Amino acid sequence: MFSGLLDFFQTTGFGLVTWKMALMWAVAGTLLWLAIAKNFEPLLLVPIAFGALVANLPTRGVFTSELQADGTYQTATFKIEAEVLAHPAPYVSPDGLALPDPAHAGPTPEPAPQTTTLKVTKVEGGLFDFIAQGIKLELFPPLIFLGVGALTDFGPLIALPRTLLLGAAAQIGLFFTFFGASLLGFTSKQAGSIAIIGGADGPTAIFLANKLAPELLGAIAVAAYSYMALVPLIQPPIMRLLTTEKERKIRMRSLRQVSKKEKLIFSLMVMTVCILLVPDAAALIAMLMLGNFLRECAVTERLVKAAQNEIINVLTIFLGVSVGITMRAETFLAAETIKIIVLGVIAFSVATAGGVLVAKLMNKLSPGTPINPLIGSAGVSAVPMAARVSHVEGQKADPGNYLLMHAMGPNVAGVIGTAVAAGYFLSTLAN
Amino acid sequence: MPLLLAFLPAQPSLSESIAFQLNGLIVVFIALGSIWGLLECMGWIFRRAAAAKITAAASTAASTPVATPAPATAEDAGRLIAIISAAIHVTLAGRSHRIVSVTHSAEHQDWSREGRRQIFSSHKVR
Repeated sequence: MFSGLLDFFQTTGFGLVTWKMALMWAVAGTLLWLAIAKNFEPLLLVPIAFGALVANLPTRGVFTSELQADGTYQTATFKIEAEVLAHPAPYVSPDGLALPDPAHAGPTPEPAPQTTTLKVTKVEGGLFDFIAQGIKLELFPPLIFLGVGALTDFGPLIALPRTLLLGAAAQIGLFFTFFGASLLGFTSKQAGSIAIIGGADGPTAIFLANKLAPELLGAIAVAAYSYMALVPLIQPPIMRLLTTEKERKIRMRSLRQVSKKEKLIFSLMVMTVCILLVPDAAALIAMLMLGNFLRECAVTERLVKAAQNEIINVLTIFLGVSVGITMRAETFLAAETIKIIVLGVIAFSVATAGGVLVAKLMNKLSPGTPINPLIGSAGVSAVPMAARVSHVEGQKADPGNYLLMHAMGPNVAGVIGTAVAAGYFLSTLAN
Repeated sequence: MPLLLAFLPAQPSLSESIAFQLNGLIVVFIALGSIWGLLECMGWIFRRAAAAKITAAASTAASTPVATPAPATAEDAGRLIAIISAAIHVTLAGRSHRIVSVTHSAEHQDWSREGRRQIFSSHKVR
């Protein structure tokens, strides 16, 4: 009887648990605590943390992970078994004659590419080997952008278009961090993927990291979403440090009403300009603006509701867990992860400072129509949390000052700016 | 390396890295700056069209005779203050209060401001 029990015990996963796995359980537990107890980006941190926990349990049939020659693990791979149905054969005429004499056949035609027909007999892989293809094939981030576009009102940006500069200014943090990452020994591709954390845009960070440095995807995604959640803690001290009490009390003029026609033209215009300038960002920008166009045209209500709710919710679950699955102890518990965490906070801080300082510069250049510099910090995307932080800080200085709608302008401009920056990285680093 | 040709090696030199960053910032500012310019043009056109519409409506209204409203009397103002006081009393539900002044809002933005306040207070802010 006992030998039967011992045999069963050998099939369990207890013997496969390592101390690194246990440490990752603590990391996953911390992320779950931040999400549930502290309410830090729970919609993403919960799936990510859960995926991380699953990745560090001795699972079977969930996902596969293969050690590569360079020492990294490749996850989400599945095997296909197939049988060859037909080989490329030499041409034989219907009456069985041999090929024509090349000397009389005229100029030699270009050799046709050889293809082989396969019949798939078996596909092996775990559940997340298939679901994670959404990240590997770059499907989830653009589709999430569809939902983001359907949820975003670009009205404040259209009403006060010069706040676009604040969205651009916040990207200073991103390029600054690229420099820092290069100095710390990361390759150009890795540095670009780390720098995008400063854009505070999770889907874009995942999109870029997957293309340029998939080995760092887990750490980058966790850093990006964690810092997005920590925006209310990271930004206010920098904002207060760089502004005077008088500047924080600046009241801005009420925004004008923006017509439906303007919003529709805006969607088409932004998509066209951005894609012409950085075609590599086309997938993100096109889906963002498609979602927004559906929202603003007001004749596709069912589609908008689907994009705002079902599509984005389903994808958020799959994206979160797929990212969490990449957080295996062997790759996550490394010095690179610590460096990425540190570089991430630098990226955020410099991006915040860049937005605030450029807002102050704009006030110097155009004193007649002052901008409250607190809205500059909203240029880091993190929609709408960064705009709320600007509003709260403004109200601390002047309880009657309502900056929320003004801050939404640079906030959504930051989304566009980060997508453009990601397109720049892709076009210059991907090859 | 030319400034506008930033195809970076895996381990760039300091000057290559700086040039790469500058190029990136230029690209971002060109993209968002051009959208800014286009939006200013679009806004100007739409504002002009709206102003023309208002002018046309005003000239139509001016040509139509309307009854002159009766001037507000001291009695009306007194009633208005009584109504506002009663509303405040009901809202504060018996809490001790004293109305110091009732004035017109200078900016005429109270409803939009109240809307924003409600939207904002409906979200949890840490």
